[in-house]
Amino acid sequence: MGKNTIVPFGPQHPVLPEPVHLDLELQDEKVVKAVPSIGYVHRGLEKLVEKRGFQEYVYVAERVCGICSFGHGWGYSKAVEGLMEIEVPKRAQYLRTIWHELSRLHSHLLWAGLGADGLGFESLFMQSWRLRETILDMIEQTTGGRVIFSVCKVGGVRRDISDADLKDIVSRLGKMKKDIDGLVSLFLEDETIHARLKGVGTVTLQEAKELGCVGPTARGSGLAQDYRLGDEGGAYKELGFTPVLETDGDCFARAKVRLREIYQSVDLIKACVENIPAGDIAVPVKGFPPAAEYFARVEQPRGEALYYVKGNKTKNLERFRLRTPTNANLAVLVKMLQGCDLADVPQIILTIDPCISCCER
Amino acid sequence: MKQEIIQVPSSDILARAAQFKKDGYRLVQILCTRIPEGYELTYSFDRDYIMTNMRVIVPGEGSVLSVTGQFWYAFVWENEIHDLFGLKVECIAPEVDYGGHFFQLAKETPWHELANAKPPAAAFKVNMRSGLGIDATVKPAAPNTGAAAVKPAVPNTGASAAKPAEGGK
Amino acid sequence: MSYLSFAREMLGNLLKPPATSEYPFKPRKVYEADRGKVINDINNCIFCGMCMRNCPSDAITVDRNARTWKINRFACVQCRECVTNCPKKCLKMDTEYTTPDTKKTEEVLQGPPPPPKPQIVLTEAQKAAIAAAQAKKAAAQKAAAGKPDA
Repeated sequence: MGKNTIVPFGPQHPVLPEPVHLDLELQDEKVVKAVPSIGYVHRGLEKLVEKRGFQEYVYVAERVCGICSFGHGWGYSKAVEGLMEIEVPKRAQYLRTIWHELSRLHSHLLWAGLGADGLGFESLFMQSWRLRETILDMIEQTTGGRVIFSVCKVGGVRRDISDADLKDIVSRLGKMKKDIDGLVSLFLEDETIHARLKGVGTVTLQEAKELGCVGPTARGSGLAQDYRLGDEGGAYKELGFTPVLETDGDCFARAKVRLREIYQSVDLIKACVENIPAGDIAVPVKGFPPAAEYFARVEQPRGEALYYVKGNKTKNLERFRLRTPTNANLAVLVKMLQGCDLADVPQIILTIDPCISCCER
Repeated sequence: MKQEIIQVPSSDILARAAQFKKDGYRLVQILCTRIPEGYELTYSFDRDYIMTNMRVIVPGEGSVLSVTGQFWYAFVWENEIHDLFGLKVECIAPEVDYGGHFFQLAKETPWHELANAKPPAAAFKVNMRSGLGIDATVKPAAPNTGAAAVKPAVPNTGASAAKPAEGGK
Repeated sequence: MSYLSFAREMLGNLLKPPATSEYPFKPRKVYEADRGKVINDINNCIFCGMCMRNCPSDAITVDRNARTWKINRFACVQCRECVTNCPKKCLKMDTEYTTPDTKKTEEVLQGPPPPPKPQIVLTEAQKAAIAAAQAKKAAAQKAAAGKPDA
């Protein structure tokens, strides 16, 4: 055993376009300690809520992160709606669910690409992102933006989706099925992917509970922790929903959870389109938020996110807090990295699907 | 949905956290808010998708004890509170106490200052970007304004006197 | 589990046309809903400043006195909030994006001069009625201000 070496990882790293810095303390090839530091893209968006009107801030909240943009818009709106006791129309809830699931598809396919890229499987990366492009087209067709949706507002949604467009989405998703099957079977059956991901970065169910994991990271360890079962809003209660669970807890299980959730999202969108009621898409919002506080939670593609708002009877809110899924998963990341091989570090980081700019509102 | 916030003296944090842990709760987050008296910390615990919040008021010069003994993963938020708000958190588990190096920021404790005392809601927003030396190109849109330059303020429009702040730079 | 599992997919891809489009040579597909950039029909604009007040990125500046409407295209985030809030519906969202530039510039639109105020011609009877009403109001104010002696 030689002396410990410290290898810096990030914030610029070929496999990880996320601005996280890790000091990896190595003993030979084994990581014994990982010290994360973030803040390279800290923008102070939580503080900005004091300077923007509460209705304008939806657009700022959406820009916390590009991939979960709709989730952030929804979470913020949900928190303010709870604060002001606004009842959102049924159709708006269904439309939000459709967009949220589209954004989950887009996020998971993006992750599949990044994961494959991290393994050095460039062609699979291209394949995933080609599929993602179809989803982005659907998003553009229905919202007008490719990544930043800007359709959610306090009190409902800003755009309706016509019946023709809804049918179009379903038929395009149906056509995509074959391509998704191809992608998923490649991921799950390819020998090289098995060799890189199986048995790496294992988190047991007990550890997942003790480390406060959220999202696919928790579900990969068999912890049924999915806020869509809770008070998510949207159409999840009516459509019925069972979270995808895997029990192995390694990197492969987490990848599998995400890939299986792609199918689940497609099914949810189809169910939403079948059951969507007619009616209003928004209710008018009058007055200013009262001097009270409200917590809201939303299950995002990466896990459960928490939104807190505090009003003070003026146009501006006094405090807004966003606890993103990656923020909660940093702890499990630090734990997983202890004792792994240096070569496995990128895979382990990638399979929690980190979004560091989410952490740095 | 009713949201429960329990007020707790800061000496009780550890005992309460231990109780929550025993009851099978999960720590969702720690929220810090600057208030005139100091800091307002809210610990959110979740069990079966129902959240209970524990609120602690810490005086401005005070410090708070870490709950990493009970909920190890609280170090993420405790380091964050220390780095962003400047509230000292004592006894964080030594292997995860980053001592102010968790957030790499250009400015230390950027959220320490209080939420600014705002003018009433009716106040007009001042455009923060004008005057930064951004070049202005003038594009005459209406055919009847021949001049290509921006004209000085037209004095007559009647309604302008009502809201002097609107054109403010 | 299989080796060379991508081979089948790869052969399929060889036979398919490219998934990407030759962008600058062929225009991209545009949807009706696209949020490209904000355009203002300045002749209908009343310079009320609703767009400026609702802009989350402070990209729009409206000067009512000078009758100018300025937008910093590089600060605009295309949220469409100004279009939603425009009372005259003179703002529109174009499907074309802002073209890249080497400098940050502001686009200034100069509105036409305001229409002249209509001159109101009063008849003698109306003038007399106004004078009577004013006198009555003044008397009432005087009565209210001065404490009654009796």
